[in-house]
This record gives sequence, structure tokens and C-alpha cells, in this order.
Amino acid sequence: MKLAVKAAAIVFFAAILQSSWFDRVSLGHGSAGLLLVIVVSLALLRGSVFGAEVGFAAGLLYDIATYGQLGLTSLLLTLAGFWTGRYGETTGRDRAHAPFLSVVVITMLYELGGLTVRFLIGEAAPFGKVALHALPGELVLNLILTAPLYVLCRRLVGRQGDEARATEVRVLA
Amino acid sequence: MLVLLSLVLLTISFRESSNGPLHRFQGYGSAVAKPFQVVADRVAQPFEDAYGWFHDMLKAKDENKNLQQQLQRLRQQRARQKNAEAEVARLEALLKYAHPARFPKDFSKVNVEVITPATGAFEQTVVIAAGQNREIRINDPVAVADELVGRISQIGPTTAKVMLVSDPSFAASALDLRTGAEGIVHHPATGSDVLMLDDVKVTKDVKAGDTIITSGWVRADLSSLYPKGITIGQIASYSQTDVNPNKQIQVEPSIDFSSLEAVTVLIPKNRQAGGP
Repeated sequence: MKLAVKAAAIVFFAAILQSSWFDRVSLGHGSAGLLLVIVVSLALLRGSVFGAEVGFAAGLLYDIATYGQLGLTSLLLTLAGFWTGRYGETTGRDRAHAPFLSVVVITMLYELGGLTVRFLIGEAAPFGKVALHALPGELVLNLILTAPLYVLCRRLVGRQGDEARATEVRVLA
Repeated sequence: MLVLLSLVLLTISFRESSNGPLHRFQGYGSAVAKPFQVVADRVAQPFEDAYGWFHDMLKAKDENKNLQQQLQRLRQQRARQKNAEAEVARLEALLKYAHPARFPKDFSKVNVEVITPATGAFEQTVVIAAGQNREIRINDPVAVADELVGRISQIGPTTAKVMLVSDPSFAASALDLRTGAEGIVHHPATGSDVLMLDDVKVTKDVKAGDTIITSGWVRADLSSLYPKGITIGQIASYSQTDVNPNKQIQVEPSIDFSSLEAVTVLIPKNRQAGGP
């Protein structure tokens, strides 16, 4: 319960900051993806189901705040959260490079997924602009955000399994 | 399950009209988020200002010199223009000339803050901090000074969504200010930053640097959404071929849509007076 409240607060403030300020922070045509990095970090720390739930909520909030196509960002961030969570659960969580690798891969898949869905619903899907102009800047900005946000998320919500660990030792004999 | 729910939301919101229940819900949700967005923006403002101050200091000297020259030129142009305006007004009065609503005098202005900027490579929309509470309606033109930004595409109680000129769904009838050559301005949907001016015959005279403005046509029971005379941009380049009856004209927008901080919504005065 406490974890859910913490995660909800993080996601809410991330969605507000993303829609009001971080969308303005750009390099080339790419803007910083605070919300994406937060979802990736939380998913890596807490697993696939938690990641998917956080991704869905984050996407929904963002689409509402920006009058975006309702459901689009939710769909992409749900998948992003789930896959990152699976990676964390299976191989990645204990590796130092896992957050950076996840952010790079998920940023690319997020943009590709966005292009695909937009193409399917008949909206403009400028592959060249995204791949050549937006993506490089977005990758750089997201990588800059990764370390501080991952540390912040870890401090706030901890890692899955941390609660089960022994916190004190009693000497019996 | 969540993926399925997202797909259902996406399908319904894509299919329903702009005043459907999901869009209304989005409007109310955006109104709830607005105070938080405004606070976040205010908190970030000093940092943005500090960056802007240092950035501007670096190029201030050159810019000052250029602006002095530009000011001199514009003063001369303004004097000529005032003379011409007075003459036009006198001739119109003599001829009892009737004309549709004109920009800017037949429109009242609602100046409003942009709370969500144009996002990334996909979205060419911004969210503004005023909606039905300021008598704004769907399709109202939006400008910065006398330059076209877009039109209202979705409306909520205290917020509204503006479709920018650079959105692929946007189109406006336009004309070349120098020669009067008319066409349709739209975004080519190829990811380019420039706009296209289509339907201009090869026989029409245009050249690079010409200013493109909204044409603001009026028919018997139909009129353009945009009043005549709002600047859209300048012609960057054009070409023509033997097989195409129209010129291919590229227009550079006057505004940098990625850094909009405030815009003006134009509301026809006749609507406020109880008109349509």
C-alpha cells in the first residue's frame, strides 16, 4: 500500500513535470523523456507487473494532461514497463549498466512503437525525422537523466526482494 | 489486461467526436492538472530565465547592430504604410466598400499562457491555460502578435488544445502578399520543418522571401476560419516542372513552434455581441 502511494506520487509529479517543463528541454528535435526514464527505473527495481501498472498510469496521466490521443502513451509505456521489468527479473537488475542499457533500448523501441501506432491509425509518422533528428538528442538527454532518477527511485521505492532480507541478526549461542 | 485497456481507450478516443465523453473527461482531467503544471512552470521559470540571460548576452552585440539597421528600415516602411492605410480607408469610405471581419480590429484578443509545449517529433499541438471560461470555441484562430500559430482543436472548461500550423492535419487558404497568388498552406507530413503552399499555378509570380498571409475568403454561406492578413511565413524556395500545373512552394514559418510560451486567441467581436 505504502509502495503504491509512493509510486503514484512519483508518477503524478513526473507526468506533470514532463508535460509542463521537460517537453521544452530539447536537443536537436528530441526532448527529454523524464516519464519514460521513471517508468524504466521503477520497472527495473520492482518487476514486470509493477512496471506495466506504473507505465499505464503514467501514460494515461500524460495523455490527459497534454490532450494526447488517449491510450497511445499508456499502451507504449505499459509495454515499456513490462519488458523492462522482465529484463530486471531475469538478468539485469544486479548489473550496473542495466538502467542505461534499458533506457537506450526502451527509448528506441518507444519511438519505433509510437511511429508504428501512429502509422496504423493514419496519423503522420515521420520516420526520418524521428530516427535522424529526434532520437539521438533524446537518447543523450535520457541517458543524462538515468543515473539520478534511478538512484532517486531506488531510494524512494527500494528494490523488489529488499523487504524479505534479514535486517537484524540474533546470536543464539 | 492493461494493454487491452489501452487499445480500447485508443480506439474509442480515436473514433469518437471531439465532444464525446472521453474527450470531455480529458478536458476535465486537464483542468485538474493545470494548476500543478502552472506551478511546475513557475518553479522552472527562473532557471530558464538564467539560461536565456547568459545565452542572450553572448550574441547581444551583433544582434543589436542588426536590429538598429532593421529598425531604420522598418521606420521608413511604417511611414509609407501609414500613408497607404489612410488612403485605403478614405477610398473605402467614398465607395461604401463592404468587407468581412478584419484582423486585428474586428477581433478581441485573449492572451494566454502555454502550459504544455509542442512535444517531440510527433505532436504539433500545445495546451493553453484558458478554455470555455474565456469564451474560446473550437476553430478559433490562435496567433502570436500578427503571426499565425494555429487553431483551437479541442476545448475543456479551463484549458484548450491548439493545433499548430506545423501539424499535418492543418491547412489554411493563403496568399502571397506581394502578388496576391493564392493557394493552400499545409504541412507535408514528411517530418520537414517547412510548410508547403499548394495549388499555386505556374503562371503566378512568386519569389523567395515573399511573405505569405492568410487569405480570409468569404463565400455566400461559408468563410475561412482565419481572417485575412495574419502572417504565416516567408517563401523559402520554389520550383516548377513541365508536367505539374502548380508550383512547388516551400514556406518557412515565422514562428519557432517549439518555444511558444504565450499565445493570443482571436475571438470575433460579432460573436461576443451575440452573433454566430
